Amino acid sequence: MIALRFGEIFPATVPLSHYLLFSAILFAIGLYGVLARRNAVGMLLSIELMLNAVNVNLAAFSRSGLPDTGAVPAQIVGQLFVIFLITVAVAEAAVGLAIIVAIFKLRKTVLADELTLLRG
Amino acid sequence: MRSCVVETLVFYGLAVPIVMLALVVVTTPHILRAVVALFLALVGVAGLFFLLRCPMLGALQLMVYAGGIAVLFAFAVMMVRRITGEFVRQTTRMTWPAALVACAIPLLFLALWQGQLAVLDETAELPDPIALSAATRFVATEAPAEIDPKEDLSPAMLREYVIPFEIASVLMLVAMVGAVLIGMPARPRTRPGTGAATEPESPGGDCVEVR
Amino acid sequence: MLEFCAQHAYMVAVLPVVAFAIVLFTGRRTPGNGALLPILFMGVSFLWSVGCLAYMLSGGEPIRLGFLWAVAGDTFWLSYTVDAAATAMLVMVSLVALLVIIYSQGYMHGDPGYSLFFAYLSLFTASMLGLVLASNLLLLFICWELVGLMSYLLIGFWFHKPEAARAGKKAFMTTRLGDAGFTVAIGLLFVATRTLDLGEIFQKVAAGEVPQKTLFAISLGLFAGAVGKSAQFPLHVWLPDAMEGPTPVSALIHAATMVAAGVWVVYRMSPVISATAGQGPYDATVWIAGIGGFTALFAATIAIAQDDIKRVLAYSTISQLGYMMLALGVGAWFAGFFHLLTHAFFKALLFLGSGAVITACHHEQDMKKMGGLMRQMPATFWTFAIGTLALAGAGIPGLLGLSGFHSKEMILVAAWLHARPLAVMALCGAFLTPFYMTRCVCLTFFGKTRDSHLAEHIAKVPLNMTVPLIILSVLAVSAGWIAKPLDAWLRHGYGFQSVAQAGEMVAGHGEASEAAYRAAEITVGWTAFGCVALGIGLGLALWGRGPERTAAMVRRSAALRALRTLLARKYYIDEFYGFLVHCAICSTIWVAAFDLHVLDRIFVRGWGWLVLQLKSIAGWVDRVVVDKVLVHAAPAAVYILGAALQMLQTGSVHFYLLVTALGAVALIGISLFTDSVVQVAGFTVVAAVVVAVAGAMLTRVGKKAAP
Repeated sequence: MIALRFGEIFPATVPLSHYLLFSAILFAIGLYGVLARRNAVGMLLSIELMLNAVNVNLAAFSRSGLPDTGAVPAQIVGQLFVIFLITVAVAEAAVGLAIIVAIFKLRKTVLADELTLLRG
Repeated sequence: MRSCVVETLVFYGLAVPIVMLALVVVTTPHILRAVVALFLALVGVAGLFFLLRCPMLGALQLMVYAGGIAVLFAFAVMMVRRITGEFVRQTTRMTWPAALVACAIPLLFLALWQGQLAVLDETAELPDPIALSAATRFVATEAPAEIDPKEDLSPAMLREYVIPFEIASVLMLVAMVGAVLIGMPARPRTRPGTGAATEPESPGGDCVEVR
Repeated sequence: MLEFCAQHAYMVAVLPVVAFAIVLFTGRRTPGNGALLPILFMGVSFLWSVGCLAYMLSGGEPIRLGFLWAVAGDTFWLSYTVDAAATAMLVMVSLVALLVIIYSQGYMHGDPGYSLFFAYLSLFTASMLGLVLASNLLLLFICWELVGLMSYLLIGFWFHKPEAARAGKKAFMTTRLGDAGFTVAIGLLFVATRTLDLGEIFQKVAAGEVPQKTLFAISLGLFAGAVGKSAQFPLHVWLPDAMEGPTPVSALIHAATMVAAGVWVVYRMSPVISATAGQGPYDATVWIAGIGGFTALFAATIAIAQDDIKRVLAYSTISQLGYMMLALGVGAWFAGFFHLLTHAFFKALLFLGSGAVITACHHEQDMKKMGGLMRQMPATFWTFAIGTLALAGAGIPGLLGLSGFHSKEMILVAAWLHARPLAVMALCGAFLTPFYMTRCVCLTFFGKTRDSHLAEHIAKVPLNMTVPLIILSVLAVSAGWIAKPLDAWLRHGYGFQSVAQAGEMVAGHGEASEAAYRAAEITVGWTAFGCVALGIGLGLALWGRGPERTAAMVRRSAALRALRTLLARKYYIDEFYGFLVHCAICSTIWVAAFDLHVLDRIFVRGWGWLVLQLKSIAGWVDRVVVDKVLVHAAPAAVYILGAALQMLQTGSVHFYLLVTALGAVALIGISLFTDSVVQVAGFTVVAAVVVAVAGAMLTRVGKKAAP
């Protein structure tokens, strides 16, 4: 309802590039966070940021003109993609946190710098 | 097209805080503050979804991401907090390389369109002479017609996209089971014949100490 | 019938070969202790050659036939020709061989190698007949070598006598020197004309296809072979020593046939040799005539001082062969050939006669011990005397003469017309020949037997030795009468008609005009008569009553003594040759020393030293390079690489993520900004390496972070 009303009164005017640039910045910040954060949970948080940036990107594209991919109108593809991405992100977050908790129980640390068993 | 000030305002009013919150997420030493910032950022992204006329995505985002994952993170943070009080360095030593790499992403994006972002906006098409494969070429169309997301999304999921849908559900199941298994506490195992409890095995397989 | 004889003329040579084979393997078991079969076959062979002669006499055309020998790039034949000259030679050779074989029955009686002797004689005769028949250089060469081999075997027949064995070797070696030139000549001929057939060769030579220098070399080579075989100076040294063999051998081989082979070859190759005549420095006939004339005189001088009866005859043979060569050299081809035929008869007669004397004197050959045999061996004496006169050239010019007179006169006339100095030498020889032959006859037959032991035991000469003597003496007398018809017939029946100057080449007496010839005939004829008379008279005077008179003369005069020693020692040529051989052998010691001390040092020990050095180098390489470097390098390389790569395995999640991020950014950037797959791949590799290195350096961070 709100979207319809919005669309009738105010047609979309924010350019695609703005959305894309925004998602790129968000992605970059998330990437920085993954590389710079010592805390494993913090790394996961950053990863969530990156995923969200991608979601925004896809959603932005779903709003703009895209070629039809068969029966499904172009605009749907992006949104579907986002739905699945959210699903994956959820799964990944759950499992990742479970792993971090298990490691914490074993090693008493969540700092990725100290978890260097794979070294060598 | 008429320019819409409100939308622009709303967009920037959402985008800027999101970015600032994201910066908080990646820089603050307090993990809990990072979690909260993330939560708020996710809410903001949901708003963006609504702005992009994907209400379902927005709703999903709020319910699953903000309401589910952020809370999950909060729980996890609580569980793994080291209550020692000493100040531990929260960043790795590769902040500068990380920053460089991070900066490369938007720069790459900008370089791709060589400043001709207007072309992208108008035609959603890449300017010449950058040649990409035809699959990624965007064809300019009319302004998209209004859609009813509820009507088109769900049938699509159950018809054309049923396989990814099912796989996604399996994935959820697996993730759930896996998370449970990983997080399960160690339980004693009885040896057949002896009745005595053996050494409890730790979950997560055999982590061999090499130190 | 006669044509059949002529067409299958090779049977003349094949029959004795069969006899040889049979007698060689069955030996004594054949009738006559191995003698009858060769005699029989030789008789048939003689009749066959008479048949060929009759064929040619009856106007038959000369025949040239052949057997295919081998095909090796070029086609090689063994071809024979039946023409006038060949048939004349055939008859002569087979007749003399037949008479000698009959004679050998008596001479070799009781000898342990009786049957083998006849086998050898048969094979020799076969090869000589083959040589005569040959119209192909291949067959000629085969028979040439075969004749030389048989000569060696027969000279050294009594091989248990060291002198005989040595004489056989000497004969073979000396003739081998000549054969070397002969072989070279054949080779040159083949290279120049690409054929070994005499007819084709003569055609090509007449057409001028062979260059003059090559012709000269060929002629000299052929003549070198003749010098060896026919015992001309300087290769004459083997013939006197060859007298160690049995006398039939000397009669057959070293008087009538083998030594004649050289003359025959020169005669046969006359188109080639005469093509060099008058060509200035490349004139081979000058050499032939010169050496022939010199030899004629040279050998005659030596013959004066020889005491062995056979040695006198040997030097006489050398001298007469020189006359033949002289004749051939001045272009009197028929004269030389005719002298060959007549010489065969009377020299064989003389040798067989001397054989009879030797047999009678129980194998005593020193003339000084003989004497007075005239009364005890009249038949031998008279036949020997006839032979002597024939050899001396006794006869009255223009009227009658023995065979030797006719042939020698022709030679002297031809030499007088074309080479006066040589004619003078020949005339001196014509004086010396009767001189030493008279000495021989006197010492052997006249007076009283000087050795008392010998005087009591003069053996009787069997009939099968006397009859050949008589037959030969008849031939020695009569052969001269057929000179003129023979000349004409040879001219007519020349087997290589394709040669333009066939008639002149074969039977001419040079290019002198008829009138000059007649004048020279008279001049030279009477001069020769005078020489002969002088020789016989002087000989009788000096030796008529035995050797005492000359012995006294020699004792009184030192000059005569010196002269006698010089002649008796054959001008010390044998000693000189022995010295040369000794030098050659001594030089081999130097060569051996050089080989041992120099060549061995350099090549053998030096090579060993080199190998040892290489071994130490190889060892060093193996120790240092292989062991240290390679054996250690491989694991070291692996270790270094592993250590390098290990730097990537930091165990730090952040590092991995950084690398991934960098790689992703790089990949995206490259794939977006380039459109070449190769470029993408290359840049990717470079980027990955850069990333790895940078990351490895950065992970010092990760390392230090770990407690």
